[in-house]
Amino acid sequence: MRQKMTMPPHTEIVVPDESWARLVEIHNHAKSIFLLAEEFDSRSNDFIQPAMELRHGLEHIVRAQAVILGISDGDDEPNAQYVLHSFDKAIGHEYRAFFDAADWLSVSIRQRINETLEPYSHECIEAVITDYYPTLRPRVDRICVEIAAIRGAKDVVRNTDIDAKVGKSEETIAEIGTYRKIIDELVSISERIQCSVPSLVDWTRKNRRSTFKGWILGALIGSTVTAIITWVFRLGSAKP
Amino acid sequence: MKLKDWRDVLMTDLPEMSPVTQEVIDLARTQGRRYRGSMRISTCRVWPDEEYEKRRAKILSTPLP
Repeated sequence: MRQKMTMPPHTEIVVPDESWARLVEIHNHAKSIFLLAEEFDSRSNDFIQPAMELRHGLEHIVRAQAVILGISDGDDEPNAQYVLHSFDKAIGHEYRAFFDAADWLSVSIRQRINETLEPYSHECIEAVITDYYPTLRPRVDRICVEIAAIRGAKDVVRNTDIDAKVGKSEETIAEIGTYRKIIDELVSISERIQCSVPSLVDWTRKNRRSTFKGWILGALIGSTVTAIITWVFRLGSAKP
Repeated sequence: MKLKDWRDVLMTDLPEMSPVTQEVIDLARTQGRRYRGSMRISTCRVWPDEEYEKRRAKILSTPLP
């Protein structure tokens, strides 16, 4: 038999709409990166860490809601403060989920770019994707290093970075927004490279044909010159 | 071990996740049929931590063409 739940009276604590709005925004940034990272994974594997961070985020929201409903009291803080801190901590976990997923995605994209361009010569890549060496390649390198550094720093301070996020949700969301743009840029670079594959194949084929033609022409000229020299030499050495 | 009342676990921390190893994945595979969530997780298509970190380090250290 289902146990009937008796609800305690609601408290007067109200979570500001901005806190909810920030949480919704950051959660969906993390979710969209996670979904894309799943698509990009070369082995179609999943990475558990971002999902675990989302689970911890949910835990903080449930705790805050329990305090709002009067079901429980905050740890050592006044209830209203505890609720807001819990929201900030939830945002902190969403932030970690975002960077775990972003790191996973950037690694997968880098691998895809590597595998796509590997069969082609530098000359071919330079001719077809003209801004690859001056712009795109350094950009991909920089983005991967930046995201990896954030994830690395996050690992070092694993248990203190969430507390550091308390009261700084606005900064957190601004940082996420910046990196979201960077990830979008990385994805568009990858798409551009994928779209260039037919041109890369075409260039290689044409170049191979012209190389072959050049080789045949060279052989013909070489043999003609040799024949003429031999003929002249024979003429010169012929006895009168 | 007794199942606690839901009110008693409200402020209890969830258990920390242990490292995902190949052994854990193989064990989870035996229970996969009973799991109704993500298809990748139920079929144990999951990166073991160590392998993920190795692959990540290798890809990041390989220069782009």
